[in-house]
Formats: sequence, C-alpha cells, structure tokens
Amino acid sequence: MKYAVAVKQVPDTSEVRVDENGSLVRAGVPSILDPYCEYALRKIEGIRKEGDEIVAFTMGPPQASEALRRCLCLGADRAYLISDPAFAGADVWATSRALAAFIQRYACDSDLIVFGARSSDGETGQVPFETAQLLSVQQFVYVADLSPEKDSFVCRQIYGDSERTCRVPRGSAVSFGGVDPCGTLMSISDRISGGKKTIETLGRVELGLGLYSVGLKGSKTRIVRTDSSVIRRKNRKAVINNPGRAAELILDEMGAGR
Amino acid sequence: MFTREKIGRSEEYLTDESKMTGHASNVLLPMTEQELREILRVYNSKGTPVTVAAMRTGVCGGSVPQGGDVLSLERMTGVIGIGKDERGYFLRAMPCTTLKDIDSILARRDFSGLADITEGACEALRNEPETYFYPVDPTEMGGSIGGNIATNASGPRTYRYGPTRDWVRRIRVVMADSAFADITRGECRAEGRRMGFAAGRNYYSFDLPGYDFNGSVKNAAGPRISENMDLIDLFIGSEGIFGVISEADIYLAPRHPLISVVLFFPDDASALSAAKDIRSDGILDPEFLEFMDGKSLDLIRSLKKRDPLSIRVPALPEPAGSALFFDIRKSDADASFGRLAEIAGKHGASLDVSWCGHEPADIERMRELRHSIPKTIFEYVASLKGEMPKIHKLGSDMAVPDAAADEMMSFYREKLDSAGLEYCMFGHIGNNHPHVEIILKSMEEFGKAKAIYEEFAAKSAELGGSPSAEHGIGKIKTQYMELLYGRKGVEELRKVKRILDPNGILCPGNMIGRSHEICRSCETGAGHLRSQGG
Ligand SMILES: Cc1cc2nc3c(=O)[nH]c(=O)nc-3n(C[C@H](O)[C@H](O)[C@H](O)COP(=O)(O)OP(=O)(O)OC[C@H]3O[C@@H](n4cnc5c(N)ncnc54)[C@H](O)[C@@H]3O)c2cc1C
Repeated sequence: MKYAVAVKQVPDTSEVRVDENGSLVRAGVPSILDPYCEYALRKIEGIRKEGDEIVAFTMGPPQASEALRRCLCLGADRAYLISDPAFAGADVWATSRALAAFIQRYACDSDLIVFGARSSDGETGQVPFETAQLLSVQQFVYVADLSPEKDSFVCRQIYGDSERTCRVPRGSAVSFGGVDPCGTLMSISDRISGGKKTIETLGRVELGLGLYSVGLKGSKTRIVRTDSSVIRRKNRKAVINNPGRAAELILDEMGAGR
Repeated sequence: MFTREKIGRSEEYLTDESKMTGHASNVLLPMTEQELREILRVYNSKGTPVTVAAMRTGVCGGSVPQGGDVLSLERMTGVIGIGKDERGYFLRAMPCTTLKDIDSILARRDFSGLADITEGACEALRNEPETYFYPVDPTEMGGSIGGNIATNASGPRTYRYGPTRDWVRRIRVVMADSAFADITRGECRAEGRRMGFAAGRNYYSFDLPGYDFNGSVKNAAGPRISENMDLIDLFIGSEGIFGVISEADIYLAPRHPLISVVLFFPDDASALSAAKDIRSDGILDPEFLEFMDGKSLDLIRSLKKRDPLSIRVPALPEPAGSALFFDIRKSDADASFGRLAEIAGKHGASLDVSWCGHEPADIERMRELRHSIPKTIFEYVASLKGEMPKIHKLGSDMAVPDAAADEMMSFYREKLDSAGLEYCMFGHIGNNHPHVEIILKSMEEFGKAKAIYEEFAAKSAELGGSPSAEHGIGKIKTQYMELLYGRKGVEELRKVKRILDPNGILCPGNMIGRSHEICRSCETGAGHLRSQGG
C-alpha cells in the first residue's frame, strides 16, 4: 500500500501567548509538526506492512522542511516540500488546490490520502474536505482506527456519541480525529535513519499551477479585520413548562443581545 | 506602609516542599524594597523575628517559620532589565522572579518594557544570533532567583556550568536593621579572614570563620568561606540569615542547540558504567548527565498507569531497567550519535528503543520525565502527612569526589538493602550526586531511615564530599554544618550572624540553628558593628 500523508508545520500553540491587546505573540515561539498530523502519521506507521510506502508532504515556507524531517524520522519514506513565494497567504481553498495538484502529479497512485483532523493554528478543519472534493475521491472523517484489507480499508469513525464502521475504497481521503496527548518521542535509530533521507522541494511550476490559482491571489477568503473576542456568559435559569413560551423567551433574549 | 495579613489557618505560609510545618502569626507582603526596609526597621526595633519566604519550593524548611512573622517576597517579582559587562550579558530581577519567567522572557527575546542597565543592552541581546539563557537549572523552575541565590541552588547543568554562585554578578541586600548594601562581585574582598563592608550608615567588620569551604565537589552547605573571599559569597548560600536579597544580577550564556537523549539500559550497573564512559568521552560532551535507576522507572510506570496524562511522554520501553538522560550538541550530532552507538553497544543499551529530542517541546517533555521522579515523591510524602504528621521526605543530597563515587554508591545500597527499606536513585550522576529517595511507609521506617541518612552524611563527609550538595541546610540539616565545619566553625558563623543581625531577627533556625539563644555567652568580641556618621 502507498500512503500519502499531508502534514503542516505550526507554531507550538502551548507556547503562544496573548498580549495585553489580545493579539497572539508568536515571536520566539518554536514551530512544530502539527500534533494532529503527527497523530495521523503515527496511525499509518502503526498499520504499515512490509513493502508499504509512506510519503509525507507539506505546503509551507522553507523551514517547514523541519516538520518533514520529523516525519521521515517517524516512519515516512519520502517527503515533499511544496514551497514557493507565490503560495504565501493561501486560504483553505488555495491550499487545497496546491495539495490536490501535488497528489495528482506526484502521488496519484496512493492507496490512501491521509490528513490530521485539523491544524492547531488555523483550526478550520476544511482542508481535508476540499482536497478530497477537488480530487473527486470519497472522504472519511473522525477516523479513530483504520485497518488495511485486501483491496480496501476498514475504518471506525467516532462522531461524538455515535460510532460507524465502514469500508474505505482505495484512493479515498481519511482524516484522523484525534491527537496523542503524550506525543511521540522518536528513537535514536529512527532519528539517524530519518536524517539520511532526502526531502524534495516542488514549486508552483512543478505543480502546474497558474499564478492566480495559488497563494493570496488564488484565495477566496479576504480577511477584513481580526478581532479577539471575549466571551462573557451570564447564565440565567428559567423554568418554563410551555415550549412555545420557552421559544419566545429565547428569541427575546437573542433580540436583546443584538 | 506595608501589607500585613493574619496567617490564621492558611497553613501554606507555614510550610515548604520539605513538608515540615512551623508557626507564625502574620505574613508580611512587601511590594518594593522600600516596604521591605520599612518592615525590617520596625521588626528589628521590636526584636520580632521574620522568616524570609520566596516561592517556598525549598526542601529543607528554610522558609518555614519558627515563630514571629513570615516575610513573603511573593509580590517582589519581575525582570527589571538587561545589561552587559566584560563577562557578557546579565539580567537584573526582583528577588521573587521565578526561573520559569526568566527563562520564558529570554526564550522569546521579549524585552519590551525592560530597562537598559547598560546602554543598548536589550537591543543588542535581541539581535544576538543565538538565544541566551540562565544556565543554572535546579529542576524546579517555580523557584525564585532570590531563593536560588540564598540556597546556592544547582542542578543537572551544574555538571557543565557550576552552581548559582558562579552566575551571580551583583546583589542588593537589605540588612536586619534595614540598611542596604549593593554588592558586586570583585568589588569587596576580605583581607585574609577579616571582612569589612558598609551598608547605609553602618560599617560591619568581623572575622570570618577559620574553615575553608569545600568547592571541589558540588556543595550547598553554607556560604563559600575562604581566605580573601568575596563579600558576595557571604550572602550567596546563606539562606537569609545575614540579609534579605532584594535585587539580583545574573549572568546569561548563549544557548547551544542541543539534542536531549534518554538512553535505556538493562540494569543499573550498565547505566552507571556507561555514565563513566560518557564522562570521560572526548566527543560526547554533555551539559548534564542524569541517572534514573530501575526503581525510578517503575515509579514513572506506575504513575502513568494511574494517570496516563500525568507525564507527557510515551510509555517507557518495557525491558528498560535504568536510564541515563543527557544532551549532546546539535552541531556535533553525527559524531555524537556514532559514539553513542558504540557506548550503547558496549553496555547493553539499544538505540532502537532509546529516545532523542531535537525540538524544544520534546526536550521539555524529557525534562518533565526526569522532574516527575522527585515530584512524585514529594506528593507521596505529602499524602502520608495526614496519618503521620511528623513524617518528612528523606532523600540524600550528597556529592563526593570522583575517586569515591563507587564506594558511596555501594554504601547506599548496602545500608538500605540490609535495613529492608524501599528506595529509588536518580539524579546528577555526572557530579557523583545521585538523590537516593527512601520510600517510607511507616513511622518505624522513618526512624530507621533517619538513622541511615545520618550514616550517609557522615560517610560523604569522610570521603571528602558534602552531605548537602544542592538543597542547602535550612532547618532540617543543621547538624551537617557541625559535621563539616566542627562546633568551632559553626560558632564562628554564629558570631558573624550576631554582627550582621544583632537582634537575631532574620530566619531564626536556618543553617546555624538558633544562633542567639544558644551561644551569646561564647561571644569573644572578634567582630563589631560600628555606626558610620549620623
Ligand atoms: C520537585 C523539586 C525539585 C527540586 N530540585 C532541586 C534541585 O535540583 N536543585 C536545587 O538546588 N534545589 C532543588 N529544589 C529546591 C528548591 O527549588 C530550591 O531550593 C530553590 O532555590 C528555592 O527557591 P524558592 O524561591 O522556593 O525559595 P524558598 O523555598 O521560599 O526559600 C529557600 C530559602 O531561601 C531563603 N530566601 C528566599 N528568598 C530569599 C531572599 N530574597 N533573600 C534571602 N533569603 C531568601 C529562605 O529564607 C529559605 O531559607 C527542588 C524543589 C522541588 C520542589
């Protein structure tokens, strides 16, 4: 089996502070392989069999190669850095386009496209969906466990209270729902072997993407303003037996809040 | 004006991490040096004792009051500024600034709002290619810089960088009578054994004790007394008995990118002999070298079994029977990994299951792993307190010279095994300074363990080491002062105390016991306090 694992380098959010103006202070904050992606990669590493191949790829600035190096130490066989100044400012859509273009050109024979649940800096959780959509492949989210069968996979998905077990056709996209709170510590042997593997860098041209398909120019999102919000909850308890009256009260409260 | 609160039932001010408990009426909470001086002026005139407390992470009862009031410096926090002199960059801080805060400001290079102690120092440090840090790492990052200086704290990195003392550039000290002295290293030295210095309108002049502090091993048993000693060394390690540190300058060092390693071994003996190879190895040149014995690993395993998230590391490899924790420079990683493979092979360790951490988050988690051992023991002892209020932690803090390391190690094991006591060993093997923690279960065991502990202390002194290598003396180890320096040495220190704090108001009971009650009759007049001017 061949697995293509999308990963992201993010600031270590446990180190990010908020200053007195409510802005995130990122200066001096170390970058890490996103714990969601690391979890997904470890899950795949856990089911890999002799002869299987794991390809890790990321879109990011040159220093994102450090996250790929970690992937190579944690079991990936090859790694691609999708990096180009033109990719700067990409939103979910432009990111998904670049990732989809990579998969089509360099990993189209993958038996599974693997994502983490979301990224711990952006937190949109939309990249797996949009990439799957662009590739027209089936997608399976909130995956807790996955096992390879002869010609497909079986996964168990956990949606809050309910669970679902289903067959995953080859070529599908899956995103794992969790994160390992205890994290991974790599073995010294893995570090030595991972340090010897090479990382290939691909730019916009290699992916065959036009200038207006990538980065800020290819993004549909326009950030008008960023605010930090302070949530103040004033709890109030009202016991009302009549559902209609209860609904009216809620509507009144919402109106008063506007 | 200063804040004074009734202690009442809030027992937190009556204890520290030794879990010893004391008694006091009020807690005094100065915010500024001015308020601190005002407190001491009032208390000195009434002759009411105060026990200086900072973050109360001390493990020898130094901040536990024995009457009088608690002088808590908890509101005197914050980094003041950055400076640079011929030795390098230094940071100026209020006494109760924690190491954690200092570390995070330096790691982030976040010097906004800090003063330039010397012109352009903040900007220059911000623009340095390497990040700077305060290299003394006494494991407990919640301790304060004042507390660290008062106890001359040290830790794993003492292996490379030495103890706190080596990093203190300058301190301001408020004396018992509220005068203050600004003491910079190199500016005031004793003449032979005669020390003299001015503080406010006072001039203190006295004879120093006749013994020489043992600086050849890790040692936190009192100040570094020697001929021609620097005045600053009288206050470093003096546990608040001579004066209250109200501000400190500490030197910083460039942080080399490091890789942390936890190498797992089949048993304790293999790890200990590998430690010797690592120490004498020219290629592997760690900044610290820490040992975790099989029992310590079992402790971690059981902790993780009870609460998997208690330590943020993966499950320990199952066959592992002991471990060494150390670091190597990133720039020499290839050569170091090569040597590591040879040493691991020779001593039965496997690189396949041993860990390495390149990224700050991994390095921090490995540190947590090591720190979880004493932390678990502290919590365990605290949990026994309800049933056995008199119990306290019994962990060794002895360092010996290289030549005596094996003998001391065998002595620990023989004594504890034959007494049938459970224990674990971990810590600074690079400085021949493992902590042997006795896992107590009853008061009977406590009694036995205390007797054995005394034998450990005597043995370490006999072998040319220190029975208090890093935790200080506080109130629970005062007998070791006599063991090391004899009655005469302790008496000489008490004389110094009576000159600097004639009413005996500062931290009574610390380090030299109750200096004023016991020995006023021994006064020989060797020292005197002279009032300058006024
Ligand atoms: C889990 C754990 C691990 C530890 N590991 C280590 C270790 O590896 N190495 C080590 O050295 N220590 C270690 N310690 C002990 C402790 O962290 C140090 O002793 C530390 O220096 C105490 O700092 P503090 O601010 O808590 O001081 P406190 O405990 O409040 O006070 C310590 C002593 O210093 C005096 N003092 C405090 N501030 C001042 C001041 N400004 N002026 C004058 N006197 C003052 C107090 O009167 C008291 O005698 C450990 C503690 C814990 C809980």
